[in-house]
Amino acid sequence: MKNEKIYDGITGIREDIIERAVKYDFENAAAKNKKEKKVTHRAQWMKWVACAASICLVVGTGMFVLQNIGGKSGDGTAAEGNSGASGTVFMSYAGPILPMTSISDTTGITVERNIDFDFLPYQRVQKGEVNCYGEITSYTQFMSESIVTDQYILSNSTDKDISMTAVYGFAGSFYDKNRYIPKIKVDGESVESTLYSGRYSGSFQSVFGSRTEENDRSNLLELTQWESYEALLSDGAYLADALAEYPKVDQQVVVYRLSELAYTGTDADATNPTMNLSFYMDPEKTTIMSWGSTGGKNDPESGNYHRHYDIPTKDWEIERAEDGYLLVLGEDIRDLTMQGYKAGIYEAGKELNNVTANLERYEATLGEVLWEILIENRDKYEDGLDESEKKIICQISDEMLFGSIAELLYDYGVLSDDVAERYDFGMLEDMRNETYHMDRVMYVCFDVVVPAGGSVAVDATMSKDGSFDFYGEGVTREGYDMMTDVGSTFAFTNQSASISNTEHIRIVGQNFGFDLENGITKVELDRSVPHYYLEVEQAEEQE
Amino acid sequence: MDDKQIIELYFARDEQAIRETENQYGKFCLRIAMNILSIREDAEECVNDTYYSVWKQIPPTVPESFRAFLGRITRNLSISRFRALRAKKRYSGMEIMLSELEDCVPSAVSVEQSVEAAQLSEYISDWLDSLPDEDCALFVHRYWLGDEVQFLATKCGITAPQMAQRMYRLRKSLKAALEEKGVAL
Repeated sequence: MKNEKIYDGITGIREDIIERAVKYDFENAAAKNKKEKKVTHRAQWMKWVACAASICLVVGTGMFVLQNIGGKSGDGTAAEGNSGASGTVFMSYAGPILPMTSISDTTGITVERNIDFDFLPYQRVQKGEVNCYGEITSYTQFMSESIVTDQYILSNSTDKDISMTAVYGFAGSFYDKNRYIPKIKVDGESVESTLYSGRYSGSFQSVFGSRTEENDRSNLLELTQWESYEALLSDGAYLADALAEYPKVDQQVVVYRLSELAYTGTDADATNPTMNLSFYMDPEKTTIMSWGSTGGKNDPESGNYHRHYDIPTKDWEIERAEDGYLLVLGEDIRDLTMQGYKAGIYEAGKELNNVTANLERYEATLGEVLWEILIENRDKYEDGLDESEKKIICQISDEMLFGSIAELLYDYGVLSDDVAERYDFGMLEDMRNETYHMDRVMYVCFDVVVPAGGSVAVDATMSKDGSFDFYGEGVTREGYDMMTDVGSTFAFTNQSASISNTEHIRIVGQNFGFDLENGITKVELDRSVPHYYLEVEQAEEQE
Repeated sequence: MDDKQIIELYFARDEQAIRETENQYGKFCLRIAMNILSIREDAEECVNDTYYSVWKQIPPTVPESFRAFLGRITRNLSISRFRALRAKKRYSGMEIMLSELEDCVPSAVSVEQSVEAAQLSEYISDWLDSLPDEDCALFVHRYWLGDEVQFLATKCGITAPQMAQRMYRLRKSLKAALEEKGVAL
């Protein structure tokens, strides 16, 4: 594969470069950057274009940061061969299958449920490729997904038809390459449904992995166990919030927009020409957000702040906004100056002439500007994805995406009273990217009428990837789990589970009671047990 | 004991050379192997194989940078193991790195030049030399040593998304540099 050729090319880079890189002291460089003081060179070429509240189109794109790099981190207590009473705690947890519920009065309705795990897709696929040496190699790809059909029989014991809005929740994220939104059928017919999204379902942890240091929330800590889902969903508040309106962002802001960023010089040292905005602000009275900025420096004690904006080049222009934004909430910034720099950061002594830009100042509501920046460019942002990567994103409306970004800003971003360290720099790219990738519970809502004295069958069908470990003894196993009644208002009279197309799997952990050797592929579930789990691995191939 | 003295032990066929190599660079090699393979047992085997390979290569080879020499051998052995066993094991570190490196693959260009690995390495070296020190160090740490994005972000005092963005720019920059050379893979 071509990327492996690149990898091999990197392997052979010159030794002096490796030696230099290995010895590079990142911490010292970062500390030095922090200590640097404000430089206020007012450039001769600076052009100011004052403009009263105007709405401006932004042309640009963003890059799709892979939040899943490294995968979701678990707590390291992975399987030791056998599962505990609640199953293995996997390093990457796909989340449990959740029971259907309703937001309507369901008095008079009883419900039977059967969940089927179909392992037809779970098999080896033989693939071939030409490696970087031109040799033909073959490898086996393990497909580790199950098709889950979660079926409910709703029975009406009264003499009147009962209409209800049913809700089917599922764990996932907007950008989820492995999962589709569950398909809902009522009595075998597909029905129209509406999608709702809950907030980020996890929490945060420190950069050192500690989960107890409340003051350091630099890393995401997504849910790793079913008990966390139980705590999140059991009282119905999470669902109610998901169905409620998104928060408004109608605060007045001052907008500084940098456009026509350009470098017209030929300085050989200008490896990454950048425009830096230096300004003064009182952090007690002012909050700033940026778009298109590649970094900056904050010095709350002196009030000196910097944000730098790289000059779009032929290579980069398609992956970033052409215009840069600085949004000011509260008291306006002052002593604003602009200066070009050579190497992508504000660095005293490395000023660069012939860096030009237009700077526009205008007022608007935060919502107007955010919509302009984040939503009107959405197509360009998502165009880089191939069809297989758009399983859920393509069904996320602009309003849902915008509302979810607003929620994140209020919950943990710079609009929060308690800003998480992860977002305290105010980069709107972070808000957008995180909103795409954060784990959450989403809900499919649809209407069902259960006739008097009759019943209807509701099927929710989905492809479900297994939970897994990245390394260690349990690396070959995948886990699938379900919850019996968490957060559901239905009166279940019976629940059962079945398993099908099992020829490619071997069960290595479970509390369902399946016994493949003896043909037990359907079992009744004990409704007092809140959680069932099934752990499988590839069966040995029959020669 | 410095690198020169260790290499002298190899030339003297003194097995203390391997113990000294392990003392000085064992963790460094294990880090590279772990970053690629993610499975400790496999990584440790690669590091042991590295010592054996060094023992066979010195003499006659006299490495300019002993650390880079060791690291390259570990890296090669790790990638060989990855290629041999990828079907059976989930080497997450390598898979992630390879998926990121897809961004560096040059697009089809009008004047294509099919390059050998050594020539490609020279082009990449030239490009790395043209970068600011920190960018060069970041690229080498991520794609030669295999350090994780989160790890590098912590070292630089920025968030992981910011670091991922910076890495993305570097990959795009490499892609552009290779396209400028008319490289086809």
